Amino acid sequence: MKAVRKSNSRAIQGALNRISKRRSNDIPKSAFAPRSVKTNTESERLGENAWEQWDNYEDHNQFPNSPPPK
Amino acid sequence: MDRSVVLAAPTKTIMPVIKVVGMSCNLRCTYCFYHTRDQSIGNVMSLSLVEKFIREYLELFCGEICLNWHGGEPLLAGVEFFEKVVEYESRYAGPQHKIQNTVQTNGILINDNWAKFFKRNDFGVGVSIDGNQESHDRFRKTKNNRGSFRRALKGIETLRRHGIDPGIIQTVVSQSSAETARNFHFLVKELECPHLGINFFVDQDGVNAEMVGCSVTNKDMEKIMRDYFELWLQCDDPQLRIREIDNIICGVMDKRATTCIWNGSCANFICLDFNGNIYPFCDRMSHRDDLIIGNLGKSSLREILNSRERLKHIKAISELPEDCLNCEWLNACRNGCPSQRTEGLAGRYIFCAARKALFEYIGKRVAELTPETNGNKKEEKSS
Repeated sequence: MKAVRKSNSRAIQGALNRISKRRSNDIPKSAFAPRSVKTNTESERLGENAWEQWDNYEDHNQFPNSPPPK
Repeated sequence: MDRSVVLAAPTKTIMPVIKVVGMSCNLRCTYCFYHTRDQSIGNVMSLSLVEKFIREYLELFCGEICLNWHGGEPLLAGVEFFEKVVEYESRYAGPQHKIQNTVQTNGILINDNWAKFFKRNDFGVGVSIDGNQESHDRFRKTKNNRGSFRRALKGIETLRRHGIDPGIIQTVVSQSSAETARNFHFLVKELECPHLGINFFVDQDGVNAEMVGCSVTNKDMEKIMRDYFELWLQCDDPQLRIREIDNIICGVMDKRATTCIWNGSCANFICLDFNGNIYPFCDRMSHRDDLIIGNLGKSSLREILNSRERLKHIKAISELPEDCLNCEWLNACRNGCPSQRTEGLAGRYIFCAARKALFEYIGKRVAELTPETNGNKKEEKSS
């Protein structure tokens, strides 16, 4: 993915800036298949960092009737 | 003992939509998917149930968590209810949690008391406004069949007086395709809305006799979004966010879209109804009793999230039609919203044609106006 550069449109530039840190949408099919992940409590019991298992999945998400992100 | 929970799309958490009063509402919007049902029941989720949900949810997930309080009209639950919500969150959250609350309202009940509460507790607020008064009052009516425009606007004014600038969700119908300039002008120029989301009305099952001929077609959607895109360009305000335009630009730039119906993450939403019933996906399908996957009063949240019923529905929406698998816009669209597919959850998105046309059109326009990047990443790839 190349770096986002300058648009002649300030509106488009605003959108490009907003999305610039989002991940690629080229996601492996396997990521959409049901899979088990550990809960917070289990991670804590095992002495693991509960954040680790989520590291690959960070983008903010909305649904159609949701207010905008803050 | 297995302490795992099932996720089914690349997101960190399962995001809940909580219908604190079920479908109860103080309005009778003609296009509402509850319109043909009794919305006057007046149920409110019990405090013991909401406490159980918050406790169990926070045990399962961590990081940036968003709890979406919905309805019906969620403000019917009263400020005291939400004071308890905030209390429970504070009681059960740990350092690993960063909780964001959002509420989607019709704006009618908002007063200084509500606005102070939202401000004090950093709630994100969305208000439903369909455009200028003529467009808004056409369908968004009170129980007495009167328009709700002025009261909704008064709610927005109250929020702003307390330093809250709500996002706006506009529902468009087929007729809206002839009104885009007028409604864009009202929402952006007059109302000075900084963030707009657009929902497209479809009565797929033909159950709403008052909305015959109002469902948005592919042609309508394409026209509405092309018009909005050009108006947005003319406005040239980098701060003005139109959710659907951002999602389309994400698609043409090969970025992950922000909304489930563009990025395929519908399976990582759930909807909790006031009575404890849990539905897979967001509120859009929470009027379908055949989709109930469990009841929080009878089972734990983890058991319900891992239930065979939920997995069955996830599998149904995850199997993409052959057309999708060969489509160049697969990653940008993911077959849209499961509630708007032909032939059930596993069918094809009804706005497939409009989306393809919009990716092409907006991709070209972005490329024209962003010459250094050549705008459309797909062209770069193929060259």
